[in-house]
Amino acid sequence: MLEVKNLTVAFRTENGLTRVVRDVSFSLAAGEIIGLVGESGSGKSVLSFAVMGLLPPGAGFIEAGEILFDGRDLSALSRRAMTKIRGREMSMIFQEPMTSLNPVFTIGAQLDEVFVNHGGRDRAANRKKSIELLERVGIPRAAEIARSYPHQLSGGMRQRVMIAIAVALGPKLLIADEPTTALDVTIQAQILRLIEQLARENNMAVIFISHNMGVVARLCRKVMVMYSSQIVEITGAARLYQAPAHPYTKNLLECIPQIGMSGRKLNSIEGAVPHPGDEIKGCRFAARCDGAEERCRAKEQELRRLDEDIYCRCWKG
Amino acid sequence: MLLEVNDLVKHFPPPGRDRRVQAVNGVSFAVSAGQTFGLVGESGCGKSTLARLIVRLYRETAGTVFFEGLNITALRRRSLKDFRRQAQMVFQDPYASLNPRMTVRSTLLDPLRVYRVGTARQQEGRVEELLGLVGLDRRYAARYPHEFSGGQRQRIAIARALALSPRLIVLDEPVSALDVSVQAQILNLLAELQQKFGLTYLFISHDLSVVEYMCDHIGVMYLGCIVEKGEREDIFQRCRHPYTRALLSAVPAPGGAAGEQIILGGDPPSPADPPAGCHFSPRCPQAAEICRREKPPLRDLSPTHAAACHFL
Repeated sequence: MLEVKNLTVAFRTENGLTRVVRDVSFSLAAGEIIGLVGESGSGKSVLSFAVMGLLPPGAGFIEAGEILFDGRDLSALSRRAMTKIRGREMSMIFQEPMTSLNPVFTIGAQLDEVFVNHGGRDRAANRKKSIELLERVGIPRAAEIARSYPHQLSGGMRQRVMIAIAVALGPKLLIADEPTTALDVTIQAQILRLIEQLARENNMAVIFISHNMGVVARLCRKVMVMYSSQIVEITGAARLYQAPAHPYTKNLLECIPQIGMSGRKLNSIEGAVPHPGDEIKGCRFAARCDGAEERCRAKEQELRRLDEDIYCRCWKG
Repeated sequence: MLLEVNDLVKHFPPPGRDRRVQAVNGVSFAVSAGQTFGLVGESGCGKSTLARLIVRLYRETAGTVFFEGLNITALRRRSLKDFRRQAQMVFQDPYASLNPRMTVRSTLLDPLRVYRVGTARQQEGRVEELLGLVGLDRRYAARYPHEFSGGQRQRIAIARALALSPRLIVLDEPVSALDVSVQAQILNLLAELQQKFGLTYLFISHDLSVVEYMCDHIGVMYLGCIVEKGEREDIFQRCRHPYTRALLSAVPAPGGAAGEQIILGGDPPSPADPPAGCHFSPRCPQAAEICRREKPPLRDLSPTHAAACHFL
């Protein structure tokens, strides 16, 4: 359904071109939930903006590659054509539901707007659909909540409202960018279950972006790991923990305290993530990798297929 | 015991005419020297208010805090200043807790000057020493906070907390704003400093795996009260309170959590309007009649383990 091929996204800056997503390829089937993990600045959000056609005009652009969505190449579509696809066929939710909702309109008005923008003229019918949607995302007393303002709701409730807006028109693809990061764990568990349920019921594909490996493992069957603008590994969620292929993934997993390992020293990765815009010869992780050899620094490795559905950007994977 | 908290209560005056916000509602625990006591709970449960009460950034509504046998809730002026030298704090957001207009050097000199520690030369020497302790190059002393990454800033905040050689450091979500690889560096640093100086930590976090990793004793908070406390194993291997159980099962563990996940319905209630009886009863899967009527007291289950539930 979605196929991203050798996508490179660049920004025009004072210092010339800065590439923040490099040579990214992956595919996604209808109804599939795929995880995208990486530390801050790895390029996860820019990648999702590129898929949504939301790169800032004039600054960010697709330098190479294509994004095939249901057979159409999105990277070649005009802004107007993209506007028609967004909302109806693909939509997105963000980390902070408070800043994504407009504080001066009621929840109901913001939901109604989705239907108005896509041709719904009958106000009563729009509101009825809005209330049904709120019920579908598990909001109690939906008619009453529709009349309240965002600040009157808790963080978890606001995120449910955002999800309701995102799925209002039954999109085929939902991009969820750290949707539970600002929420407490018990609320996070509720939201993850909701996303799972909606994906199943609507056969909706989901790209779930998170820095939390545990969350991704719980929700997704397939996971992509991003490091400094590149995908370094695509693998199964269970396999990610049992047999990570890329040294970065391995090191990153050892950094996370897990219940039952107190008293042991945590691994930490020396140094810092190179800025995604830095042009580096060879592997981008080589400077921090224990196993780096001469060939790693000399030449860049491609994302290589190791096994069915397992890809790794390392010679040794 | 280095720190003893008895029946501590903090109510905030009502904004408008609402009921009083009962941020902390009768909390007791004790921490012995050299140990780490962890406080976990979701947002709004009162853990940060509790931290601020302990270092006397807030005045309590009722209750006492003893530090090395001294009742610090009764301290005034001089004696309070002496106490503050012993108890320091590190905050969650290193972008907000450092003064952007002060260099690292003056940030670290500040406490030394306030307490007139040593000569000017000794103070300069101490700044270099502190930077070394937290793993920063001493040439960084002349730089400003914006020139550092989040992890480096948190190192500076830790160096500032160490400046006066305190006995107790209250760490309020010290790694929550950091990426995992950086988080690991900071946790390792904290463990190393604790060993080197015999520090006592009060470690506050919403992240259960981090708390389990760092803490010897743990208190689980819900809506202003400790609902369960005990040694690490009491909480992580044989927890008894239904809230602790739900909290543990909600942690998305790498490799898939063991056992069935308990998903709580609804949101935590507001501390301005806590439910009658057991505060957890509206969300509790096993709540019964008595739970909605009577608030269960914290009951001892073993010499180290206590929980507040009618069904134990």
